[in-house]
Amino acid sequence: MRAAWIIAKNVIEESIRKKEIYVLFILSVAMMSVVAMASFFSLTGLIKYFTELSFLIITYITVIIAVVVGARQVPTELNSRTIYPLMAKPLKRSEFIIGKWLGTSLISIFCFLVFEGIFIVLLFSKGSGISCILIQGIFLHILQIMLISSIVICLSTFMTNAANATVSILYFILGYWIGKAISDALDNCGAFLAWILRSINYILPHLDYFDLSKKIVHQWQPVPAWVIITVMIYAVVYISIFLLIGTLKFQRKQL
Amino acid sequence: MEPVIEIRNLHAEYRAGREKTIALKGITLSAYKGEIFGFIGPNGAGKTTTINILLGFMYPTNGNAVIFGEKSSSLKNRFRIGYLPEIAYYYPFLTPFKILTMYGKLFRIDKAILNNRIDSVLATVGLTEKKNTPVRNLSKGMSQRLGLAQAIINDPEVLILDEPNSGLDPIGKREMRDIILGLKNKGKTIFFSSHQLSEVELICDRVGIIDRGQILKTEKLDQIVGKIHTKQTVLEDIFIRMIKDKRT
Repeated sequence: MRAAWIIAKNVIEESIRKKEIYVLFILSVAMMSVVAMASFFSLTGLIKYFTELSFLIITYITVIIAVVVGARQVPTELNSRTIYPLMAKPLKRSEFIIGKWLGTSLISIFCFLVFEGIFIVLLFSKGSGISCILIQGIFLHILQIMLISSIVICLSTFMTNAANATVSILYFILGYWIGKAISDALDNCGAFLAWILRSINYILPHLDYFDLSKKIVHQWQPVPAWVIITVMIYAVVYISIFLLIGTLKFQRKQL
Repeated sequence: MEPVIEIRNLHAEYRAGREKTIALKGITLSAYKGEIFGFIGPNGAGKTTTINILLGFMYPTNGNAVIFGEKSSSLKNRFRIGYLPEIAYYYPFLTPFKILTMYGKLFRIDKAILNNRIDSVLATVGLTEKKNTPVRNLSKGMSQRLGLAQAIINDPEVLILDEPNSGLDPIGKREMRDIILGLKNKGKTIFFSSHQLSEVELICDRVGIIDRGQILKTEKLDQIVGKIHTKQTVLEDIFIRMIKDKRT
């Protein structure tokens, strides 16, 4: 695992030197500031409005960061040929994949926490505070980032940068609606199609399980601990599956 | 003598869709402890493919490659091997010091030892002054030296050098040659691929000639060429002397 950590550190160092994270950072802070400014008019329910929009902005921007950073990892190493001196070292291909995932996850989580920090400061400035459900929401979103990073790294072992980014972003958007869309469709389809839809429903990870934004906005009571633990296990299982597929694919790859 | 690298009946092919290109057609060769083995052949002969299989970057369709008696690309072997790729590319945002630190850590070299080792290898390849210069600002020749530095950071017993003179000027070639000979004097086994025969003539103990995926000959160098020095190397000597005299 030490080797994976060395690869992860390299991913973080590379990402810090690229400009896209800063562009996304400025963009999201600007958007959150615009949303926050609306509350100067002291309209009713603006904290809810601010919380909802800020959460949406933070979620999308951090997922875009994870996709942008993760999608280029394997293709760029191959195209720039930096992979050759690296893989000649005592580094297992599985450690390479885990390191890339870890680096992508950590840089995305770091950006997410910075955004959340700004969000919380703005929330305090409006006289609101941190709720338990907000902490749970942040934790589940971290798990979601790690899951999406694992999908992106898995796809980067056999897809080009652009194709990977497109598929991952599309999946992120659809991933929220897939459960509901399938259960709606099941009412109006034949047995065979229903079987296929049910299979898809079980196979693909449901990103909506990680989303507490509505509950945070409407200041619900905290979710029971067993739910959080179950979702955590769910994330760990799917992350392991995607990293395993990525490793197997990369292990067979001729460099 | 004890064989360190053994390649037996190695076959390899590349596939692009339905198209299949046979790269190696059953090559067999050995490199012995402490020698410089020159693996020579024209472009596209199969030199880099052989090296890629030795290092586990590619999988053979048949045959096997063994180093120190076990699968050449095993994790255990990688601690004992140094590799210089044909075209050396390194992370452009890192400095030679950071690159060597990263690679050194992969070899699990202790931090205190690693810092001394980095200074030592950078001095060996003449990059001490560029220790903290980002790779993107290094010339092609300097990148190649950095390539050699990363190949020897683990003080390997076997060095696999794929076209080490690629992109080097005559002075760089001479310096690279001196470094390689210095490593041989330290008892390292060097597997050296090249299509520059003049370089091979000057440093190799034995050579294997490959063409179109087949080994044509494997023999001691003096048995193949009969003599070491050629007109070309004499001319090169004069050229280097003139340049160096002018600079000093």
